[in-house]
Amino acid sequence: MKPLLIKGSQLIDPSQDLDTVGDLLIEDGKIKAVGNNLNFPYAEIIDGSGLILCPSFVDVHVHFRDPGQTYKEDIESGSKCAVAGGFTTVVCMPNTQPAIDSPEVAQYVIQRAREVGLCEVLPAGALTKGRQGKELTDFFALKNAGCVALTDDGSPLMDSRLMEKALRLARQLGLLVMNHCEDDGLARGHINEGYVSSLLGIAHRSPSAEDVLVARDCILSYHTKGRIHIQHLSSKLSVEIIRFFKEKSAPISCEVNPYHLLFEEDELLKSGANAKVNPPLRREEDGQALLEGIKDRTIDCIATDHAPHAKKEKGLLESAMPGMIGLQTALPMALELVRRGIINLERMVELLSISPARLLGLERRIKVGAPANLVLFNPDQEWVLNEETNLSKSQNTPLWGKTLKGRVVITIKDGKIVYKSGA
Amino acid sequence: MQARHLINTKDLSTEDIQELYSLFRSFKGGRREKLKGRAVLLFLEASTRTRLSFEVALRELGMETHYVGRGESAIEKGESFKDTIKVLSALGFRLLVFRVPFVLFPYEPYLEESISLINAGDGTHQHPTQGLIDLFTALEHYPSLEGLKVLFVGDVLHSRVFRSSGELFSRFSAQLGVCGPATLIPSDLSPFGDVKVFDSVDEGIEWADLVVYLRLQEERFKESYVPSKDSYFLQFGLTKERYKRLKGYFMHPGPVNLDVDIDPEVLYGEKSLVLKQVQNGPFVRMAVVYNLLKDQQG
Repeated sequence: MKPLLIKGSQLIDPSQDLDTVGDLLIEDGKIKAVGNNLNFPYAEIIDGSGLILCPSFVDVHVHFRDPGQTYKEDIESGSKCAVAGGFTTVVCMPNTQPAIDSPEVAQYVIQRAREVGLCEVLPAGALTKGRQGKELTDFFALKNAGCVALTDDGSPLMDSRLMEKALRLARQLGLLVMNHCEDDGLARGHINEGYVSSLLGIAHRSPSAEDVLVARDCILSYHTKGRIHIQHLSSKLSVEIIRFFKEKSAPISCEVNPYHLLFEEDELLKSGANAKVNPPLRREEDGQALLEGIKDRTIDCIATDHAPHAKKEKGLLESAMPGMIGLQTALPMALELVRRGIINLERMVELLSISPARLLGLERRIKVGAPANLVLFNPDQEWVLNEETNLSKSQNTPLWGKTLKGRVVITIKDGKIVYKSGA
Repeated sequence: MQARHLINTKDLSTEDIQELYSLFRSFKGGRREKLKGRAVLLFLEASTRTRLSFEVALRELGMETHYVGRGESAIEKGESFKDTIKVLSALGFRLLVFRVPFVLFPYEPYLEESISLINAGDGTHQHPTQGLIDLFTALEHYPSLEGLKVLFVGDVLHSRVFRSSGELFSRFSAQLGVCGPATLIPSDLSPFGDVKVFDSVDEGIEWADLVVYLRLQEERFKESYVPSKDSYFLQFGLTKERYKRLKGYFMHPGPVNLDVDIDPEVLYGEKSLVLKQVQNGPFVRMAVVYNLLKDQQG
């Protein structure tokens, strides 16, 4: 592999308070030098002027639908979306068919991702067999097969006793337990309880559904000292609950989906089923609380919950499948937070890269000797998400056809260019 | 020319409604118009008055009607409803009057064919012609709707009638109130303006100029919202005693659950507009159909 020299870009690494213009040299998969006016014979030179270079992104929540539902996405198309969005590591959810509840399925995912060779795809194993919420899976075997986390995402684990056991067992193994927090009994409907559910007469899933389960999981984590990661936080009270338990030093982390930060329930009236997701898009007050949580670090990271669905599964609101694609839109959406003055670029990189990496025990740094996992992006370039630019097999997002601002130019994984825009 | 449709009362401008009201009045006064072509009535939920009232209206207008009931068509699900519309359009039908057990939203993709669509009830969403019946019946019995206090009693949460009538009354500057079991009142009523919520139906009745009783829609209940129908009647129903205290009229879109919504002895009393609503049904529907189809004689 030819050495790579990226010249004159703005280098950002919040883990060491780095924000400077400079050159970066990559050789043999590692960062070889960082400085000014670097030169190296035979190196491929990339002009990074006007661009930002930072550690590549990590997404702890994606659905690649492989095995089983590859008409929506597969590991190859999902990996392409990931690297086009600046991600080189993703954690894929186990609600595949069959579910990732056995070492064999976990190994298939890892093996297939290696064959594709673009992005590190780390499986989350199911918490319970068949994601049925009845019987815990073999955590030890799943960990040995390469699972980095455990979750029944999409189907919350309702049995509190099982969750308590899971937290204890996972803690001992150093595995992260993630939960999709919405109480099944309260979350029977389709959209947020609010303006749109009243207007259309569509059954709702209220913030209470989320708050009740977030509180339960925080309490269990507090008592067991087992790490819990709350997936796609969306309600105001849940932010406050997590803040309360973090102050009590419970080992809790949480993620937010950019759509919950930038869209509200009334988006359903514009985008129909493409704006349907669980937990649902909520109200302005919820969005505000999430932004506060981003600012004061109650919220640890951004995760896309990239959830592809075919067009026929996104018809009428009541019967549509929940979820949106999000890997390619995450950076422009996060940059929107920067443009609005809610966070700075360093915090953005922390939310997309440093912090989710840390949750998985990984490191993302711009440091000599560190693996070269980097993304070079243009924060101002506009592009349209359409048939030509979209790399997913699905198109389900309210941002379909919209102009987005901020584009990945190059994504580098272990020193290798895995994505180049326009290429 | 693009086919015209009526899916949602919100699709009607205030001018449209005024035009429909004058058409309704003139049809009721004896005017007759002739339309050509065939109409389908596709009813995937049970109905007596809406279906027959549409059939009467369409035949009065000279249209041929074809009825398809539940279990008689290939559709029970939302997505293939779109194909059905395509097929009916290809068969040359000019109009589809439909009642379906699901919320037709978003509905733009269903409006692409050359057949006109009229919503006769889609799940818990809308029933626009019933809304117009309620509005027009009120206009006939009250000097003005401006500031008129209209109380809806019962299962507001699942009521497509409330979503249509309430929206129309609110648009014509009536004041809305609602009363019913707390489990059947939406937590956010802002889509319908500044709505007063009454815990006590007696206080509501004292406030209201017009009371619209809604049916307890048990067929839509996926769980129990009301522990006892006997207690429901005592707590919210139109008892003989409450009937006496009504300041004005009451309505009910039907069908009535006797001794649950309303005491049978007062159902057709002099304060009742229930049969007036039924009688106005065909004329309102003639106005709607004529208005949609008149400019595109086939």
